[in-house]
Amino acid sequence: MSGSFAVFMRELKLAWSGGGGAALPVGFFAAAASMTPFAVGSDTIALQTAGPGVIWIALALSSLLPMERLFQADLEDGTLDAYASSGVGMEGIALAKTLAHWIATGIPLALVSPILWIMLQGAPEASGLVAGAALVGSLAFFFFGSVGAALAAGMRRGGLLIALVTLPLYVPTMIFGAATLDAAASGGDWLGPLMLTGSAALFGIATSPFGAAMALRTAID
Amino acid sequence: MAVMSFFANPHRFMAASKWPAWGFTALGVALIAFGVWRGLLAPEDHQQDERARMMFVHVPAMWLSLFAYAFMVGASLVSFVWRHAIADVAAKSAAPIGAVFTAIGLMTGSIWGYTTWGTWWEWGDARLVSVLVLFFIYLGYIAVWQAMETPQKAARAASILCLVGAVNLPIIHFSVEWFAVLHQQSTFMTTDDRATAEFKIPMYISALGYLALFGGLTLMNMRAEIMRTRAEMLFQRRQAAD
Amino acid sequence: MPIVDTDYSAYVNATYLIAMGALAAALAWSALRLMRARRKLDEAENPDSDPSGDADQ
Repeated sequence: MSGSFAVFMRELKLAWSGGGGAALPVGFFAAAASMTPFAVGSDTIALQTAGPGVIWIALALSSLLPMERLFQADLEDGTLDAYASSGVGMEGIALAKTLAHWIATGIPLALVSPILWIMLQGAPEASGLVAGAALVGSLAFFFFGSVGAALAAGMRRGGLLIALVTLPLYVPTMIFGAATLDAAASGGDWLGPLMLTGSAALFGIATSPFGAAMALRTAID
Repeated sequence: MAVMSFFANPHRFMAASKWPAWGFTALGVALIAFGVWRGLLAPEDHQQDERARMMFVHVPAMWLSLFAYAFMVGASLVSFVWRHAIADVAAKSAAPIGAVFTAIGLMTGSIWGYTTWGTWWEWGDARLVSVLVLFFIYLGYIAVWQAMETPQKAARAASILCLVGAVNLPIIHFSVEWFAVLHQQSTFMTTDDRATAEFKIPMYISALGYLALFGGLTLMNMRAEIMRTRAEMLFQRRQAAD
Repeated sequence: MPIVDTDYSAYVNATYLIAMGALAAALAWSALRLMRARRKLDEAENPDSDPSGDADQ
């Protein structure tokens, strides 16, 4: 456990000191969501209808962006081997790395989401709820994505494969999270869908490190 | 267990699978032909809505889409735990066949949905939507096999993906059902509701035909796979000797 | 309730056509793959019968 904590701290430092690990996904998130009015029109009602769904899809796609490099760099330069031979369990490494990347990238994504929400004519009062839902949702997206990231780590051009493999696993989080935002927009009951989004995240955290670890052990061999 | 270790040897598998591959295929074709004949050329009395005739091709395809995936999960499990070479080949060969059944289920389901709801695709039908997600999982699985550099790594990665998909499918299905209830549709008609006994028996025969065809085609693809692997090994050995 | 044709036979026929077409395609594809693999294996096992190697390809 202390071993994976050391991995976690190291990854976190790397993500921060690397400078702007989050800049690219956050920029993509904002740009993608800002395309909405050009596609659906600037009509307030239309934007309010499309907004929750668009934000949620953009969040899912932005969460996929960091996945290509999540394990690949460490696999190429042998860091993963070093971790593994130092006796840290591969599950712990997968958990620590995914969590560190979520803190470095997922939290900034969640913090930006209320701005996009308001730009798409969402009610400002719901900003906190949107940020909270995005926080939980991106956690789920990152962990489900880590399995695809680990599977594609040994490949040179794995980016598209990650998307194809991961998007089906995103379905529950997509449904529950978008429903949370929908409820926030219409003033309906948002607690139920938010709890379900949370359970999707918990399920992802509980199962994904095992799948990712199996894939990483294969990649190292 | 004994059967499994028996078939760990590709030579023994090749010797034993030759006639079953063609036999199951022929049986499948015969049973499906009977189902088509009963369903299409000799329709029953019109106590049933005519649409019920679609069941003979649609429902078995939906069953097989799940059955083929379950088969791949079993093979992947065997492959992962025991590193069983034939199990890898089995899972790999079943995937495209399963994907074809899934595609049939989706397309016929779409047509059936149009006659019922008037739209070609209904997101409120949890069953169809779940199978659509399953179809994407099939595509990802096939893509993993093609993307990996060495067959050994591809086999490991594909079996991991197959198991991950199996763990996630129930949650995906639950979420899609929840979604369907949220966006309530006017009528929830399942194909089974319309089935009476006289319709069910030809449908089961048709389903058996699909199952036999799945077995036959999977065996054929497994045999092709083993032959190719062996041919490549021989080529490489000769090149090394030159 | 949207108005849909009450004569469903065209739709029924379409489902049969699609399903049988797809199954026939899968069968043809599998048989073709098997034949190709067998030919490849024959070439690998009896290289002497074709001494020019890949010259005729």
